[in-house]
Amino acid sequence: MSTLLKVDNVVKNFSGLTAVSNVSMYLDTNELVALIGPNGAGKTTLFNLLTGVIPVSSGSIVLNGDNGTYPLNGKPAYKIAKMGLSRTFQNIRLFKELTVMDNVLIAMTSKVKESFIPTIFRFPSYYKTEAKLTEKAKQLLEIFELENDVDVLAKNLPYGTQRKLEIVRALATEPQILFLDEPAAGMNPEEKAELTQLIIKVQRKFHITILLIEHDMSLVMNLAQRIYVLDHGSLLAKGTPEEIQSNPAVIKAYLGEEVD
Amino acid sequence: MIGLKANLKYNVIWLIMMIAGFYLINTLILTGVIDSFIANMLVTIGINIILATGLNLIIGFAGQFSLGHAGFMAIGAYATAIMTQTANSPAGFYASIFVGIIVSIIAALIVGIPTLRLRGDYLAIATMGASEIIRIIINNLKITGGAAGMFNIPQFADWPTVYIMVCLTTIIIVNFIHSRAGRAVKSVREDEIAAEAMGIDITKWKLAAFVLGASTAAVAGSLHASYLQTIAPNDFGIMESISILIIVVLGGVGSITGTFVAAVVLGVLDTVLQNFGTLRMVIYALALILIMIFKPSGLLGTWEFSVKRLFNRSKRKERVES
Repeated sequence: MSTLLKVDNVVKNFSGLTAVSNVSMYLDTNELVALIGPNGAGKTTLFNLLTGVIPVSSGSIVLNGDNGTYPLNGKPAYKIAKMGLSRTFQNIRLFKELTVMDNVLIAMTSKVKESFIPTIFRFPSYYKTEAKLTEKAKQLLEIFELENDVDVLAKNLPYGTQRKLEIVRALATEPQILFLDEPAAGMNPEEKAELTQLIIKVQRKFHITILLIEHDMSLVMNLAQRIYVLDHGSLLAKGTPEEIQSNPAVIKAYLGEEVD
Repeated sequence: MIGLKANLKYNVIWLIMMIAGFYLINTLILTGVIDSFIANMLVTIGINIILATGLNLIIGFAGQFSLGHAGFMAIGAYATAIMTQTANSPAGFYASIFVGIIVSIIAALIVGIPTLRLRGDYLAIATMGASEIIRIIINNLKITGGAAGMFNIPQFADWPTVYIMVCLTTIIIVNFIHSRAGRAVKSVREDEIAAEAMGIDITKWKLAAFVLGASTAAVAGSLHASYLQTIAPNDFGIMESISILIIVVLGGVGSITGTFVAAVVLGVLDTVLQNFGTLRMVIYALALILIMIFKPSGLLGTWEFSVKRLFNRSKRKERVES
């Protein structure tokens, strides 16, 4: 296993408030890592830093991808996405007024080159690329059992299905690393169990690295190979699920100190 | 469904409809049903359709609220007015359309790169300002005839030219919308952060929609100048931008079919109401207010006419009946 993403001493200040301070972590290829921590610990901020939604104040993020080594800090979000880092959002951010199919096709935009003139005047090449893309999108949707909803507007899908569609959309960009921001939030136990199976399936099928933010401890302990614990913006602990479960600092952060 | 052959049928139907429309108008003119007064109205409607579909692309599909459409129209109009004075031939006219497009693309890039970072009303004010700058520059140049404008522009644009241009610009814009580019543009309207996270360069696609809208506005400007033969800077002020916006909003933001309907309805209304003198503007405004109260999403909302859907529906009906 080799290191795919290396994060060194990343800091984010919001005018005086340090949301993320000196976080260092790494992700290996084909690994499923969880990022946990109490509310407001800076988990989503760290996700936003890694995917370029907001710039880092200092520190470095380096991708050791299939095609060489690239620094990611300072790059705009769309370039980072093209390099193979894709994500879902804690508060679902689908393209609500567009169909399920369009949502997936949009994520494939950067995968094909289509020049202006053939598009505008509908050359045969245009139909060929469209057919190819649609076929690919259908295959992805089938894995998630969404193939019957292709023409439904994203906003009309049930909540759990919207979360699934977000994962499909993220996968459509053909990522090397997938960031899942609380994918099980608001789901009932059955939906959570289904989602757990789905995440395992996705990782095996697509051979990708997954970094997962989740509050549901049973889900995290079942899935993750390694866990990072974030508290007040800095790393509190890291290790295997067993190590984290028995770590006194983590227990203190979650449950408070024992009173004698 | 998506193959070239499967779509050939629908594309041919569209082509037949366009040709049929052309011959219908042509026959009506030859038989005298359409007099020069109505023909005039048709040309105005056609030019307004070109302007409003371009603006609908920017506002309805890219979600960028632009109030500067008249500025790009002015560029096309003056390109044609200036060039056809020396190059007094149809070739000169078409060359002037081309030059108008190029200049308006450059202007749209200069205006768009800094302003498209702004959102909503800020962008509206910035584009309005940019369009005023274009108008004031024209107002103060010698070559454009200053505030008095330009007269005796040779007439090369008649109703067939306008008709063909309406078809052409609409095909370009509709095909743009229903493509990979159009999807990218719509994703920017829906959610900029999510679009970026999916690898969409939002600045690029906003600019693409803005530039394409601006270049069709230039075509409309060229037709306007050549048909009316007289233009002045004040024709391209904020009121012109707003009247294009009214067509878009009335027809439905995000519906090209709606833009067509609204342009026709407003064009006819405008002509009919000319008999009412000063009352015209009151009735016109009242009609707008009423539509906005009872149908705030515009006449057609985001509904689009589709030959494909029409066909499939009638097929389904046949199957049910048999």
